[in-house]
Amino acid sequence: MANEATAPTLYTVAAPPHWHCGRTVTGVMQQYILALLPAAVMAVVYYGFPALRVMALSCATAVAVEALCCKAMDRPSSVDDFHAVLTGLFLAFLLPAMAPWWLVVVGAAVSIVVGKMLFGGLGGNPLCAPLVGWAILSLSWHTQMDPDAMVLATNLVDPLTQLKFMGLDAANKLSLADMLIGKQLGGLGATQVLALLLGAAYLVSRGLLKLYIPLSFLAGVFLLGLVYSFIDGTVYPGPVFHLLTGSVVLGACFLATDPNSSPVNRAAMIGYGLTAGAMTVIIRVYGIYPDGVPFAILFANLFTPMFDLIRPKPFGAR
Amino acid sequence: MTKPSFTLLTGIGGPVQDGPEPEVVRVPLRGHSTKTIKKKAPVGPGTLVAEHPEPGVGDAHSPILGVVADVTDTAVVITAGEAKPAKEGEPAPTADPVAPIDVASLAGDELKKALKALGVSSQPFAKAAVLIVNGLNPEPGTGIAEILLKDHQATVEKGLDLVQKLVEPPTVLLAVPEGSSATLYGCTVKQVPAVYPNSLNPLVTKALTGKESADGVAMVSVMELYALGRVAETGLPLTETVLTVGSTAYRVKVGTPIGAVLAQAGITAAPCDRVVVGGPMRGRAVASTDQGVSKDDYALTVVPDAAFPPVTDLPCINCGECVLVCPSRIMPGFVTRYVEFKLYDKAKEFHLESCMECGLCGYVCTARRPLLQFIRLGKKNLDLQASALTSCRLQGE
Repeated sequence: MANEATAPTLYTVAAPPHWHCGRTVTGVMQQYILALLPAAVMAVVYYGFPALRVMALSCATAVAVEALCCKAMDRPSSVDDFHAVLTGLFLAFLLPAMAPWWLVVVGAAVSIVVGKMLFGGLGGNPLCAPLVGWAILSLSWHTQMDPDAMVLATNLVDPLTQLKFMGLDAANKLSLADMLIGKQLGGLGATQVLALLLGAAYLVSRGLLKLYIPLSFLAGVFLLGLVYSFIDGTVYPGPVFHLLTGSVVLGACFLATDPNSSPVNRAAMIGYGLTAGAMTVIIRVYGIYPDGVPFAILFANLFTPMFDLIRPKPFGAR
Repeated sequence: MTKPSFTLLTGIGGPVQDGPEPEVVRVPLRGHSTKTIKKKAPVGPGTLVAEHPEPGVGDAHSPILGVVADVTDTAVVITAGEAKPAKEGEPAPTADPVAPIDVASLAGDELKKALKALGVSSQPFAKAAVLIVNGLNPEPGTGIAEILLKDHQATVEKGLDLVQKLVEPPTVLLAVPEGSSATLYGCTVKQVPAVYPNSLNPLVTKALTGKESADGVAMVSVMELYALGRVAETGLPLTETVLTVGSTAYRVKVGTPIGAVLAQAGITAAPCDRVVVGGPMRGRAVASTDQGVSKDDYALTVVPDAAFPPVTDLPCINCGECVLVCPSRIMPGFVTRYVEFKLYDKAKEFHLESCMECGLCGYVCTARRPLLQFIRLGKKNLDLQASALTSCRLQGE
């Protein structure tokens, strides 16, 4: 051996652990996009080509804007982690199927720039990025964001605007089963309740979605909805109506769970989910917006640093 | 990609096999004094090569007949074979033979002194109300405790006798994995769920005593008991350790190159693989397979390069997986972000020092950040800060 003068074999020297679970950022994002596919397909089934157009445009804009941002920030491009695609898809899910092209482009660009890249990219965003884009759009162009005003060639009706402007009787004409399978007007993907639940179940089965936030969010909506229906059953709908309308399921399973803008300890996650769920019903009852979910989640996002203060005592501490 | 199993019950057994006969050994030094050792000095099996300055820490001995070839800060290199005579025709110089010590007849401070001279540390064995024998395999994929309890129970019990003399505990508990039938004489056996990280000392203490504090509890591992048992049986200095490589256990001379042990076990490490001394969760990866095995090593593991995603410098995405998995109930994601930006005091506020270094946070990290490395860096820097502060205070007085 000695006289062969071979170079020594180089081994990888690294800190333990030497095993890894195999989960990567890119892999997780891809799985999330996969989980959203059923809802995307259902959106195309209900709204046809325009829905596909909005989703494609939103994703493409998000990717392009993130690439430009990385270039401007003189950083290696981060678009290959698929987070921009996912952000674009989430935003598209909240938009009406007939949204004008410029609305989609502005929304996706704002989501990426203001929601994510201004804070240093993935891992820095204090708020759920697609909701930032949605909030700016819906405050700036209220009519273009309103599915009732934009989507005219359809028989679907929005149960939440029925409730807001026509009263409980009008809202109760819609059957809950129809709402479950997506026969309601709203954000093009947000209303595909069953398909979204399917996607969420897939993510839970793969261990990529923890149930603390979704369940507590839904529980918050359910419990407060129950309270209001007890207060006056002739004005306020039942809790199940709240669960199946608007973007409650999308919000609970996908938007409120956005990793960086949600807390991490078990008790904190439950408190955060309950807060966002309860805020949803409060905005629906007292606010001017028919669907309170996006603002409720943004509200809860703002309290994430405070929820993170709720933490257990470390091992061995007195 | 199949996920690795975290079970601590491997079900493997079989007596310990003899390891390779090395041509060169590198006896590792951990703060030992190298003043007494000279190059080219002849040594035999059990010859003292380096004393440790602290009273409770074992000295280092030569495991083989040979000649001291080199002395570095971290190892004494010994080549096997007889020393060359100074002049032609004269008999080859030899080291004085080592006389066995009967440690079983000693007690108290005399026993501690004898153990130090025999290369065994007695520091952890202070008087305590409870002695816990940790009979769980230390890490997934290392079946060492199982093998020693199953096939070398008598030796382990001899070691336990010695420890009991030092600790004098009213109760002795043996922690074994659920489903194991292992027992030791005089121990109350308690079963612990056989899943990593339950083998870590703080978690074993909690499982057996119900308390999270280790006050009044002395811990000893089966590996340590076996080493003590061998010393009690032979009366000679400790110059070997038992390593599991794959599913086989080898009795290996201290200082044997890692490469020689791997070769005997039929395992080859390709370039860029990780050659790990210890298990996959806590072991240390070595740069060279020439490095010698030390007394407290219990396993060799080779982790192929392509088996797992590479470590990245991505920012934390706050997914919270590390928080949910942490047995110390701290927030590794927060702690390591503070350490990354040198905010050590902030890391301390988030209970950095409570970390028991199980490695699970790095295992689950979605961004594949080197979490345990950051935690160790933070601990080290806090120690440095504390010692700098102490020396400042001393100067002020």
